[in-house]
Amino acid sequence: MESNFNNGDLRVTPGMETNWRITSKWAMFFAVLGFIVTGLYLLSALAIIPALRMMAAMGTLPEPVNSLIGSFSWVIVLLYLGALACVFFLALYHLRFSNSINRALNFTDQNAFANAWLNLRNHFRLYGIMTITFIALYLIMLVAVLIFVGRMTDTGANY
Amino acid sequence: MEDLNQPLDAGLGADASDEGLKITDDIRRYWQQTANWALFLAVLMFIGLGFMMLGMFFGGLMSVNSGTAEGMVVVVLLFLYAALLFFPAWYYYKFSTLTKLAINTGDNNALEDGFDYLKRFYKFIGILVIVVIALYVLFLIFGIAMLTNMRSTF
Repeated sequence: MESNFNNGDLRVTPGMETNWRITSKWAMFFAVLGFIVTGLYLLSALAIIPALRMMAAMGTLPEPVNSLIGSFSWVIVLLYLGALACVFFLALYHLRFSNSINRALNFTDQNAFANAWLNLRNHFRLYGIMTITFIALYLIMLVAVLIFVGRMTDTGANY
Repeated sequence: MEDLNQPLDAGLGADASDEGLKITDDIRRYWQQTANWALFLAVLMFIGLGFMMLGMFFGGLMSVNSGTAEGMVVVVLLFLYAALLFFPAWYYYKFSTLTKLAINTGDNNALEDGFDYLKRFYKFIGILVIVVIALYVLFLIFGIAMLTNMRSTF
């Protein structure tokens, strides 16, 4: 893709700077929230996943769930940790954006300015990829459940 | 000592430091990519809104058919969710289109408006999150208060 940008026509105005400062404050707020949530998820992961595996091994869960969890428990762990990593990085990119844009505006740091927008882009990109992945996984799960239910109700059919 | 007729601080001050932040090609590229992802997310949210409209329609239909209030509860809830989902979607959409327009045509006003919409998005979601957390805390306190109240009667 060639760059046909209009060079030199775009300027940084005080209005933009004000908006960026406000955006940066909210981004920092979301970053802090994201890190808190990551910590909570980590704690709950360490508590719930071993409990689930123990329950699956002892057979205290209802039948279809039991076999599913037994063979796919590693998938669940992987997904959980993947979601955890995503939430962490979303918060990290927001934190970097907030710090960089503040640095850029307060000290006229061109590198920090570029770094800020790089991190915001990474945040948006990760969010978009996460959303696509979750929608795809949801659809796969839907199809898998439908096939599973179809198999179970098919065993008694006599034509 | 280039020009003795100028005041000593002629080169310093607010003007000089504002000229310092340049919008380079790299930054324009980042903005364009950010705007593309924002548009994608906005489209997803609008699709979600469409589903909610469908759900509201069927909820209303169910309520009219069976004469009970359950369908109407669905309608009210979905209307609330739709109102809350519309604004982030709209703000992302406007941010995306205005920023891309600004990058392609060099329109500084569009760029400024684009970032204004981005700020509005963050403000909206931020206030929404704070309100939801506050409601959760309230319900928690309310629930605990009710529990301790019941225990004291035994």
